[in-house]
Order: sequence, then C-alpha cells, then structure tokens
Amino acid sequence: MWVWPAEAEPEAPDATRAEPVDEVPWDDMMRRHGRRVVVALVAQGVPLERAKELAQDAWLRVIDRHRRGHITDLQLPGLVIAQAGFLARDDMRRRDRRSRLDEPHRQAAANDLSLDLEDQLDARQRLRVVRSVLDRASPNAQRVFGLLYGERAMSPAEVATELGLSVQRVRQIVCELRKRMRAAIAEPGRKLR
Amino acid sequence: MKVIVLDGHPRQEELADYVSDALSAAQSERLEEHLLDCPRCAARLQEAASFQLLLHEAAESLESDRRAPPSRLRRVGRRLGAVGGLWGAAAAFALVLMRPPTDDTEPVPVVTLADDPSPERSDDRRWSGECDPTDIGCAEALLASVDPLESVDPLSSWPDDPLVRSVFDSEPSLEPCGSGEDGGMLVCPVDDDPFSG
Repeated sequence: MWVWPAEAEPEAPDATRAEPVDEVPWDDMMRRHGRRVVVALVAQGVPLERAKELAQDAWLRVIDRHRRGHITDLQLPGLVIAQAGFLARDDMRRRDRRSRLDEPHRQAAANDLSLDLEDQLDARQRLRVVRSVLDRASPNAQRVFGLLYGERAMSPAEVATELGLSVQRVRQIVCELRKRMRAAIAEPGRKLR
Repeated sequence: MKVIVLDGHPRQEELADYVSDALSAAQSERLEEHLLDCPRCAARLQEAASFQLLLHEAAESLESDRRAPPSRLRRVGRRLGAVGGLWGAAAAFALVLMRPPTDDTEPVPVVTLADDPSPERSDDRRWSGECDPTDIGCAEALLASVDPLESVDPLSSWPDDPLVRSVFDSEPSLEPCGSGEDGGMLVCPVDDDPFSG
C-alpha cells in the first residue's frame, strides 16, 4: 500500500560542525607562513613555480573549507602544508598515471619506496643531530631559535623586539646555530641531502 | 641586505634567507628568475628547503618537549621523593609525640617502656627493652619489633583483647573454643568436655 510521504523534517543543524567563522586574519597568516608552505613543496622536489601555484591552491582550499565551517581544528601552517603536499602528490599521480602501468616503472616505484624509508630514517637521524646541537646551545640562543622557527614563526625583527636584542644580534645567533648544525650534519659518515 | 651573486649563482646564505622569507620582494623575484634557468641552484634550493624544514622540526620538538609532562622516570622519582617526605614527616611526628615535656620546674621523667602503666602495653615480649623513647636507636628497635601482620589483623589477638578478657574474667565458666563459620569467636563452658559424655 502506498503511503503518502510525511513531510520531510527540517534538517537538524550538525552540532559537530563549527559555525562559519571568518575571524582568521588570513592575509597575516599567508604573509607569515606562506613561504614555509612553498618551501615544504620545494624540499620534496617540486619545482619552485609549480610549488607556488600548489601552495596558493592549498591556501584557497583551506580558507574555503574553513569559511564553510568544515574545519573545526585549524592548525596553521600545518594544515596548509599537508594540503599542499596532498595536491603535489595528486599532481604527480595525474601526470604519471599512464606510465605507472608499465612494469619497469612499477619496479622503479618499489625502489622509490625503499629509498623513501631510508630517507625517513635519515631524516630522523638528522633531526637527532640538530636537536643535540640545539640542546647544547645557551638558553638565550634556544629562545631565539624557538621564536624564529617554532609555532609563532616570528621574523628576526619581531624576535629582537620580544627579547630586547638588536636584529643584528638575532641574526648572528641564528647564523651561528645553523652553521653548527650544518657542520654536525656534515660530519664524516653523514651527508646532507 | 643585498643578494650577493658569486659566479652568477646566489650564495648559500641567500638561499637560506629566501626560504626563511628574509629577502625583500625585489630580491626574491631576482633570485626566482635565476632559479628558473639554473637547475643546479634549484637543487641547492631544495637542499636549503630541506634544511629549513629540519630547523622547524627541531624547534617544534623542542617546544613539545618543554610542554610535555615529565617522563615516567621523573614521575617515579618525584613519587618516591614524596613518599620519602611522608615517611620523614611521620618519623618526626612520632618523635615529637614521644618527647618528654620540657618544663623547667619539674624534673624530666625518663619514661621507659617497661614502666608504661597502660594495660595495652603489658606485653612483655614486645615491650621488655628499657630504653629512652626519644633516642632514635630505641625508636628504630621498637619499630623493628612490630609484627606488621599482627598489627593489621584485628582478629589475631582476640583472646587477649581487654574487652574479651573482661568477659571471661566475669564468667569464669566460659572459655574461647574456636571460631564459627563466620569467623566469629565461639565460647564454650569450661566443664563442657565433648569427650565426657
């Protein structure tokens, strides 16, 4: 027996979705973290121009999803870097889809996988080396380093204001730290990629 | 800062400044133009970018280490320290309790355990030693003489309990004769000999 359909109830608001919030200073975020997103792609071997395009695309997607209220936990720049990385891999897949079906290429992909694991191990080792240099640095140098490269990603001028140092002194501290880190990584038996 | 170019290629510092976003827009543009035409510098840029990411990772791991709760070993150490502190406080409290009154008008009586008049302390086996309770050696000997099992088992000394003893003292025809199913004490008449009848 056919039953007259009841009137559809209005869709209940999804409690898990956040209200569209547009209070994020996107311009400031892009200015502060934009280069890091591009650099993350360049470090993966993406050509600079393509990296800038993909980074721009990643920012637009994240902003759009956030304005729709789909992103409840906005972590910057990590989320944009992850999105840009995904776009870069997707880009690579699209380009190589046809050739990936070839057997030699599949073998090469398997080799790439083992190399990737080696790279990951090497990356961990390098991180340990850099951390050991950082741990031996003075508390002041650690503070400068943390403000420059940490979550707040300050510029040298901002760090100088925050810590009451001259910009030149901030640059000098970071330059010295980076020099020591490079030297520690480049020690015999270690090779910086 | 000017972009110093050696042999037509930017120096490592310029690449580092580029990935750190420390160059001006004009300097960055100039560098990027060069990178488009120079695969060698593009490779160097990739290296600089990898190093830059490594620095970010190092800074983030440093920050997370500072925010992280103390390690398990440190927590155990702190707990042991707290327990040690409690034991120390308990020992100090016990010594204060056992210390004789310090009234200058009266001579300080040295209370020996053997002289303790309280009936609960009439067990000669435990309290036979005569010593000054304010002496740390004496206190330690006393603590060592306490049977921990006995001290936590309330039923282990029920025949000697003063309350129970008083019942038997008032009723000499009764005596304890074992435990019931529920663990409670059984009392039997003295002349109720199960083998007599």
